[in-house]
Amino acid sequence: MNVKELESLSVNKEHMNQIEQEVQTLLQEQKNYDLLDDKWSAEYDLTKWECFNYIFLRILSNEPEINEPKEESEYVTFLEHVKKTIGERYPRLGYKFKKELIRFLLLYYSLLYDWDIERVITSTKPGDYMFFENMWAFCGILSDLPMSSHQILSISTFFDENGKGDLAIGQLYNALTDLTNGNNAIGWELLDCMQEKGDFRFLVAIINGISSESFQKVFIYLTKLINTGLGSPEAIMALGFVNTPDASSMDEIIRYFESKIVKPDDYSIPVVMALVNLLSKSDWLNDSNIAFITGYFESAMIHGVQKVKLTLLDRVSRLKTQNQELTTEIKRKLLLLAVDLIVENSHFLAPISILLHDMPNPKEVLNFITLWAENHGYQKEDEFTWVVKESYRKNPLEFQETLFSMLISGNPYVRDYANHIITEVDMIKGIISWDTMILDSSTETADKLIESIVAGMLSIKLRLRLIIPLKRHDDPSVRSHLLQWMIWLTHDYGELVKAAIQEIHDESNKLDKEFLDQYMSLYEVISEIWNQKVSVKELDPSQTNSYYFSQFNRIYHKHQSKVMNDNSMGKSVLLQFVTKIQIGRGHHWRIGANSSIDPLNEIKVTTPFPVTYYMSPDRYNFDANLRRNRTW
Amino acid sequence: MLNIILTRYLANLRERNELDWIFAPLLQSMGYQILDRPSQGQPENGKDYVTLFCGESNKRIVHFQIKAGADKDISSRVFTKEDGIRESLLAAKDAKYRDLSQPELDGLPVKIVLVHTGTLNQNCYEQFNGFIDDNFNGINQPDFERWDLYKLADLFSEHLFNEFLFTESQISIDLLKKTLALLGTGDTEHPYYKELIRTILSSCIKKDKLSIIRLLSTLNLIGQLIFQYSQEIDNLHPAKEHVTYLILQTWGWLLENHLDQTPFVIEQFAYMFLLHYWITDQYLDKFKDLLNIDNGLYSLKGSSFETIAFPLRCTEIINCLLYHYWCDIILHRDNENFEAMKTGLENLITKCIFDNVGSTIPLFDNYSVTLINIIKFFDFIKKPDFVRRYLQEVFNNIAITKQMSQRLPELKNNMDNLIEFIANDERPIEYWDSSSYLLEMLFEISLRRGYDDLFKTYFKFLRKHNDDTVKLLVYHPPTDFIDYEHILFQHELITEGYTSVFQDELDVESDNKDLLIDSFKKFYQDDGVEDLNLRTESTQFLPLVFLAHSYYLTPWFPSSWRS
Repeated sequence: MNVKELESLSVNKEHMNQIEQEVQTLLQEQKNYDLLDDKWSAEYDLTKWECFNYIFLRILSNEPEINEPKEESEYVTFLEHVKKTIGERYPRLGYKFKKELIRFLLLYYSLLYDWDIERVITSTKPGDYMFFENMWAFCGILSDLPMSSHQILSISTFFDENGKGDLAIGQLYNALTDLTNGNNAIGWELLDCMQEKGDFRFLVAIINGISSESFQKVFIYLTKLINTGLGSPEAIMALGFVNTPDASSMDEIIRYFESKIVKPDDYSIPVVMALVNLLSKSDWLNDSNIAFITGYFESAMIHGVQKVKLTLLDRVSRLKTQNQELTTEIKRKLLLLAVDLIVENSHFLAPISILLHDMPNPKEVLNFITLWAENHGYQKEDEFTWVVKESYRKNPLEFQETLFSMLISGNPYVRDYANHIITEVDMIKGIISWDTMILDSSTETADKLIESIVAGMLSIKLRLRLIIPLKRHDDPSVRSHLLQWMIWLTHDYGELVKAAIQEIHDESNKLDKEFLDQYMSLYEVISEIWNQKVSVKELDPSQTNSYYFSQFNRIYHKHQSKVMNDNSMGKSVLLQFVTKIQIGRGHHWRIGANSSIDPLNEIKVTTPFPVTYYMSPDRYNFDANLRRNRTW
Repeated sequence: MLNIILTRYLANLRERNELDWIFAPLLQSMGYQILDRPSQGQPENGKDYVTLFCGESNKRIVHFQIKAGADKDISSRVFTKEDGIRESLLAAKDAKYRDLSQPELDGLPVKIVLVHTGTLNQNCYEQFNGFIDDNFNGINQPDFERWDLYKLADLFSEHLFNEFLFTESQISIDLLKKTLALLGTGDTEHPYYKELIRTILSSCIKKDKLSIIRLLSTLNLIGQLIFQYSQEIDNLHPAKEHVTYLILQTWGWLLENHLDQTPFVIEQFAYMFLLHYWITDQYLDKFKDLLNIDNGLYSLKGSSFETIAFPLRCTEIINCLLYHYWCDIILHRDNENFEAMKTGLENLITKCIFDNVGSTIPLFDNYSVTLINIIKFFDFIKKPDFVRRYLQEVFNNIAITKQMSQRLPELKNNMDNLIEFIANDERPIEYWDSSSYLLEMLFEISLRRGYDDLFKTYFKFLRKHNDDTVKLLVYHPPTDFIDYEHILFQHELITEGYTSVFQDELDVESDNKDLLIDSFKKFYQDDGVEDLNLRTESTQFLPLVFLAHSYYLTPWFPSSWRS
């Protein structure tokens, strides 16, 4: 930035007024920043952004609450006022405009008054948003600021230490790489400074910057660091980020890793990070190199500690190489080695889900989930949901085929996960192919499918919809099995089953109708029993045991409301039945227009519990667990 | 007020024999000596009761002809139809009563009384009066009198119910009104009713025949009123509950006053016994279609409360069925279809036990009563396999509840605590399940019958509960119980008697199951059995012992399963 030029711009009043008019229009009309006028800078040694920002500053400085800073300590307060004023005067001003202005201001005043930039930076408190504003501005103007290597490192260290844990810190490393990438001299100066201080945190960033021009020098420098043990982990990692000029230099690095760094049963994060980065330049890797890297990865996934595994998965999940086939193969291998990973927190699942998403077909996705379920029991992973949805969308037919085999799996965890997957994808959308597929199944398979789906926790309608095509199965025993289950479901869920079946009935052919009529005749028998039961007052607790009946209901519904509002119970199996409805008037409620009117309470369950549950919740849960856990 | 209740009651009698139960006592109370009472439903020559009335100045034979149900109102049709009132009265006039053993009755003047629980219709007034003028009240003609609904109500009030119900203090009648008003509310406690029965029984100071007859008639009337009201609201549960309480309290009072062997008392009490039997019969009939289906006793209206209500209802109905079964054996053993009827009932009870999940889920420790009831029944019908299957089911359900909810049957049978536990999904502080009479019985019965495998499977698992060892208890009646048998029929025995405890910390930890068996066997063999010969068991009302245990849920005494 040429500060003198900016001053001369302000001297030319006529020109200034004209630009100011145009800038005002831009600010008011919210024009795109692409429309900044090139003509403004034509007469000066300035960029159009510099012109724009300078004029913008002049406009802002007319505001009464803005006092331009004269020394370093006044800068942060000034900047806060600027941001506040912009927010008030130009509420719709784009993000890019604001960011560019902040960079401009820091550089402008630093140059104008020859400020000590470190004083400006360290005047912000860590955790304050101005801290990150300054960091962002600093990174953007790093190459324009006249600073010594010590100052650069000192300021960078301040940001790094106080901004730890924030992803925004990444831009600092990138800025250092950019700074040193075309300016090897400053790069080596910075390295010397680092060595002097014994702090190698920016080694990778700087090596990455300077190595494109002097590979051998960098390689020797790093191996020396490794050999002396000084900054060894950072040096190992940096070795992976060296910009190699050709395949032989790449081979040299790999061979160095192979012979000097990697030791049996010793897996470290720096090595993992280095090797993944080297792998990204796969075109320069020979078969031996690739075998070494993938072999290391596989061993690390088996024998490494959790942190190493997580790092490996995370890095590989973002890996891009020139060889797509190789990338997929490596990802596939790592996924298979991750199936029994102990999930300590959700950080582990994010890279796995990304790797899973990169699997080319639904079969691979679901096969992985099968293995995952076998190793993780009834645990369900929300992180896999988007992958499953995407996979189903890509190839519904193959997805359903694989899901089908999961549903009839002998492993209860797999069946349970398959049922869960059904709730995540819109199975009804591809139901025609499903119907055809399950009709081709053997008797044994069809029976297993019925059992798996009915014992699951899907909605009644979906359960029925998924198994009812089996009414057309060639084997009459399958039809009997299906009918039996429908009757049991009817005993448990009453009219819900009938309503679902009637809906399906409407779209059935003649053969189906015979089957459904058979069901309906059985339904009539059950319904007659219900009617009898309802008519016998001696069976009704409100008529025989009213005091305890109301006492129980009062406590029960109060407790249910509490449970429903309690997030800690959010994943309870039973809560899958429960939805709360608050009603404000009337002491009775019913769902829809057809169900019976029930007394009591403002909060109720919409999907009823199965009748068998109320007979004995303990026994129901016990039996359900047995059924759910059955292996075949 | 009583007259209004009585008028309503009499007018609603559907069967003539329903009236009989209080009519005979009325006659006795009015000073009539019943000479003959033709078999019910078959009036003999128009006479339902032949009585001798000895007034201050004269003696006379009085024939009573009773019309109730469809014939209660005298219309032209009822009067003139075949076997109608006209024919009956003429037959009564023509047929002379003779008792060769009582020649002094010959030649006594005769009076015929037509008793009907309705009124004389206006359209028949002249016809009826003309008939009476022509045939009665003349020279050499029998006297005639007609007691209609209102006259009957007056007579009952004045002669039968005045002593215990229609008293000056009005206390009893007020309690009766409250009882009837609250009958359909579904309340289980009915405190007014219990106070009414206690008040009436305690007010019977004189133990002379007339007072006892009036007392039992009053209680019978109350029972019948409740039955009738229950029928009107189409819910026989209150009738069953109220009349069970009535019959047990009455029998307890009779035992307490040593009237259990007095013939006229037995005769009067038999009415109450039959009324109660009839109510249970009608009550069970309401379930007849539901007893044959799986979980037929589950209520669709109970919703979440069925977790508690279903098992309790199952045990209540099974106990009722079993009581009915024991009564049938006494009441119908001479019936030609008895065996078929008995077998049918046995199958029904067995099905009800095994096809209703709730019947084998003990919620309270007093499930032990039902346990013994069922085992006795299976033993009686000689089905040892059923006993084993039943024990297995009960053990299994207790174990599942313990496993899933960390709960054993509640020792003190406290409904509030159980509700709180289940509805709130949290153990109340006062939920007691670290001791159990029920578990002792289950383990002991298993070993006594050679089901050592059941013992071995469940003993250790069920006794280790909530970091404690469950104490196994046996309830023994008071040592002088035989002198106080009546208390069994008057309330649940809680403070009376004593408990022996099996508590052996070392044994429950032991893995040597044979050692456990030996230790436990030694306990119950040493524990002893009281030799009880209950007076009730020597009467025709011996099912009342069953009823008392089943109603108050006093545990059966060791002699029930140890002898």
